[in-house]
Amino acid sequence: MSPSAALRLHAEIETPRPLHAFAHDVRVQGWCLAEELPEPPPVRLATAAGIVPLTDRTARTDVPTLFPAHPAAARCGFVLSGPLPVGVHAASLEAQRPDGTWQRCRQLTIAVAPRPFAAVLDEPISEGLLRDRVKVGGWALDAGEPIAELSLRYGHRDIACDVGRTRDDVAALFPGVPHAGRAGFRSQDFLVAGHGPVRVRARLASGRIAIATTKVTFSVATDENHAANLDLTVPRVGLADAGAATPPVPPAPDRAARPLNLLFVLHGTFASNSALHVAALANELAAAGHACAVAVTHDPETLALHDRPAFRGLTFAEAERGVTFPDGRGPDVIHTWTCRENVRGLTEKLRSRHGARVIVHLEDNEQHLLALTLGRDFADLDRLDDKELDRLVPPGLSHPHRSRAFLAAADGITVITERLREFVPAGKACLILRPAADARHFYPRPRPDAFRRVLDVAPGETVLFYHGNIHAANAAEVRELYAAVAELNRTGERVTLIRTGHDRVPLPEPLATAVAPFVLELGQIPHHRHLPALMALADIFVQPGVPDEFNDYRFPSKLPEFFALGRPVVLPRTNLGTLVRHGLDAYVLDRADAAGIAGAVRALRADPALAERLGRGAAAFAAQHFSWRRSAEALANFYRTLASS
Amino acid sequence: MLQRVRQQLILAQVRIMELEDVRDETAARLAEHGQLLRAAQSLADQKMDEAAHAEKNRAGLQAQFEHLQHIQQGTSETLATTQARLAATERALAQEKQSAAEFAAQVARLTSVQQDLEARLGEAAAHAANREQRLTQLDADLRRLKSSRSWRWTAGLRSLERLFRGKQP
Repeated sequence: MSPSAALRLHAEIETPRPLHAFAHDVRVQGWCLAEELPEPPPVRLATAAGIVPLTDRTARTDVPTLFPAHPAAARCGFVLSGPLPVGVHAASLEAQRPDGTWQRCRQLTIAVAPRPFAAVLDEPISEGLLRDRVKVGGWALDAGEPIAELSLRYGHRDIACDVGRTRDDVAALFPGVPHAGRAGFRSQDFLVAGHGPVRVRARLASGRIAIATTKVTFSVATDENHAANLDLTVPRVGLADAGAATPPVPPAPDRAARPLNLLFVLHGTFASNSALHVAALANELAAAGHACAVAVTHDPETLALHDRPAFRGLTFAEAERGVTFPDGRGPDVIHTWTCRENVRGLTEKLRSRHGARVIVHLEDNEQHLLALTLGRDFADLDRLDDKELDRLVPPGLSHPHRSRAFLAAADGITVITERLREFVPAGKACLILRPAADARHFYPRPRPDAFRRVLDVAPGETVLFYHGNIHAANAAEVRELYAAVAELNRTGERVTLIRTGHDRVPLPEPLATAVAPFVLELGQIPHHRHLPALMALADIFVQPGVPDEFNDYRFPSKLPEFFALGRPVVLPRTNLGTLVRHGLDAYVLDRADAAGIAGAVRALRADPALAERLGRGAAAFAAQHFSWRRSAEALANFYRTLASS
Repeated sequence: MLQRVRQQLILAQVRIMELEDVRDETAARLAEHGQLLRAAQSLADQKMDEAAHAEKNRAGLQAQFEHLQHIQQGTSETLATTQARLAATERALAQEKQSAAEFAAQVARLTSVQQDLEARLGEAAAHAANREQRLTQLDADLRRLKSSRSWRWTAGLRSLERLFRGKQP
């Protein structure tokens, strides 16, 4: 063989992809041999920015099986290591020929990241447990930029430190980093009570935050603000039970033979209760292959409150310019949520623009809501002329005349309760669209007794839970719930009500003061999916109310969630209350007012077997009657029926 | 106080759940990014290998191309010579064709002349035959005349005529 003849090379790079190294420590492993040479050839990694040389040889047991006759197979492993500049480099693995020239055998890319932020705590100890109330120090270095601020974090503590202290030893360790000589830091004060491994948190000159762990744990038991009997080393008791069984993920739905473009038009934002229904349906329909978009009046960023939405969110203003789906077409169906003025206006514009089928969803007695909001009798309002009504009816409510015409012109109607059929024009296609709970999060959960103990909930104490806003339409009935809580506590029954949501209508005095010690107001919980863990704290769920013009037509969206959690549900004999079996599925009251609720809670406290039975009954009822999958399938069939008619 | 602590404890738990969501989402995104980087790097490596292979093929094809170019050059030269010869041949052929045409025209002309001459010869022969026949007839007529008694009776007269005609100037 002539000295410069090409070698027949065999090589493999075995460092796992992605080849991602830090600037000061690029390291690549593999093997390489040449058929013509009895010894493995020297190898290197060549890039335009520099060479990573061979630094070690390794024995191989696998290569000899590939090349049993080759004398170099057992020792052809290599380690290449050395520095490279930050960036993504195109590199060549090269082998050296006997004449000293290099022959490329593989090409690859390698990503080189900046040297990570490094921190060492070394005063007074560099590793282990520190219990003393002393000042501590160390060094912290980011090769790219100096540190502006630094603190030490341990347990619930954050201790400020002075930075920029001289450290000649660090400068020697990092000769290429100009600010390494001033990498020292020291705590401004003595350690305070706290327990946990120490992290160094730095804000760099650019504002970037960098965090590094250390080998030290601080465990300071007490200080001037913490009594010695406050044990900071106990394990955290969590609200959510990590060990609780979650329901199996259902299989994907059958794919639609003819997917539709579906546009939902909401009367509010993605933070509304209606949005929960629309999002759940849209997710299920999207899983079946339909393309879904949801238009909201404003605040499109509230879409972030939903868990993994499978639909596109847009505003009314965007929708008015036309809605185009991924297949380049407009909507086949516009499903508009209620017949309120804001959604009616947009829907009519879009119907004429896209020629889509229009379906109107009814979820409330719109006439009652209008009358309640305007403080006038509906019959009187209905007698007014359009001009006067246009002036009176706000965009978020239904115009008595225009909504009627809108419903008459719709291709179909969906209703949330049977009673709402009263508003459906005769002969109009209609579907009852039953709401459900998000099965990914709402399922029977064990009561977190350990956390209840942390909350100082007494063993015999009853926890009620009510989520949802208080507004003009439900303020009176929620007051009854509060009154029941006050009454129960007044008569010696320990009851705590956990509340979430906004109170747009305040509680009247003296009830507000009387009930305050027994109510935990948590305010708005932004992500609905976080509610079930809080709801699991409850012993009983109560839906207050009485049969009336409001309740008879609606379906409180929290009810499926109550049932899904597997707790006794107390509810009035209206809407869903007319369908459940008292004593089996739920505790049904003719009137879920203060007296009724208090009586139901007493009954359930007195009869644990009944409470247990109703808990199981609620879960069973939920499993049988509430399913977004089933509701979405029924809705898809309804769309198909209308589309083909 | 206790209520506030309980409230804050619960809200802290909610915050923890939110942070856990962020952590889980971040971890998932990091994993996705790592996977993407891995895939991108593998693809880049594969493309670089393919590019090297393509470059090798290109070099081989370039060599083949140059060889073919060389062959083409020789072939072109031969072709040019052949074409020149062909052109000369064609020119000669054209001239030959022209000569042949001229010769054919000449032949045609001569044939025509020949035919004319033959016709005229025929006519002359016929004319000669007529003359011959006339001459024969005249000769016969002469002989008959000379042999007639009148010719003989008038011989003296003709001699006197010749005599007198001979004395005149």
